[in-house]
Amino acid sequence: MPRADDLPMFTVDHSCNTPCTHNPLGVKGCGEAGAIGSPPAVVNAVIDALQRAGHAHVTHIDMPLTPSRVWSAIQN
Amino acid sequence: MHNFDFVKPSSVSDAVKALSAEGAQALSGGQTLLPTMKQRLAAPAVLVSLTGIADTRGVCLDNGALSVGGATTHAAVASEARKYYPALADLAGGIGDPAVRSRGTIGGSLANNDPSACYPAAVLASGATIVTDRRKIAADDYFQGMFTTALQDGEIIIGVVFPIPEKAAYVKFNQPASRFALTGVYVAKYASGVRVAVTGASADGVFRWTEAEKTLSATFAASAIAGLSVPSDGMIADLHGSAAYRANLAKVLTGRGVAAAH
Repeated sequence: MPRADDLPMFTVDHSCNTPCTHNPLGVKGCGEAGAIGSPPAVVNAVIDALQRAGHAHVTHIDMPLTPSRVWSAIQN
Repeated sequence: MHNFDFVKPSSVSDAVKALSAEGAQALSGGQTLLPTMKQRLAAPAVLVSLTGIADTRGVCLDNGALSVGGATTHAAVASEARKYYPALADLAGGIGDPAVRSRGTIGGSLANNDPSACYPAAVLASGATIVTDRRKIAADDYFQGMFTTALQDGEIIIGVVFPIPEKAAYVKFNQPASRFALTGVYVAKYASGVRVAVTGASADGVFRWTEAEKTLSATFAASAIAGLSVPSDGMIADLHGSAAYRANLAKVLTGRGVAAAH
């Protein structure tokens, strides 16, 4: 789990060059955009890596992919 | 947090006297005790700080062994012990985060004996001696189970004396949120034999893996323990890892410790 000291420095940009046209504030929802596609991509990558390493029986691991869960999947 | 009185004696005898009061509790770095008090899981009437006693701080060589004062912080051990006992300095430098290392002390860690703490592994694997205000306790007699030690009520750890090994290493698999050891193994090679201590794995706290010690004393190589396994009976099982996972980690980390020993 990342902690505050794992984050790089970044600059927050408050400009709004392309306001949304569908609501009076011009705001856009974006908070979860990164959370929708990335977890299944990571899980699929881990399963792919395990299969390439000879663990063909591993087709599914429930999130979160802790070291313990990955190890257990390899053992079964 | 409930209200309490605070005293900071400057001598061991004054500290022992203060601790004899009703409801008195020793305070060292406070890295466990203070959060416990904030959660109102503990409400001592008097906190007796042990960090104001000058001769319980710092490290020094004592007849070829390394003597560490009970109130010495992890950060101080990480820097001051490095030239005498580098594996111990490595361990101290890997505890928690900089804030924890600047406040937490070796005496506090050993008195608490958290089953996932790092220091108990070093003390047990080194066959160290815990020196208190009234006696000396061998590491093999000191650790008596999860959060349980040989210390009597009001007994204060003055220091710890570590025989310096030929080679040693501590390898910890971090529990990433707390940075406690999910499992940690300390391997120490002495002329008299090898000692292996495992923390974070057993529900009884730190323990020696004697089967590996015997094998490694004959052949000090990671490959020597390939045919051994740590039984998973009595291992901790929680959200972060099963009992079998911890037992396997203990073996894997022992091999890494042997390879890393310096």
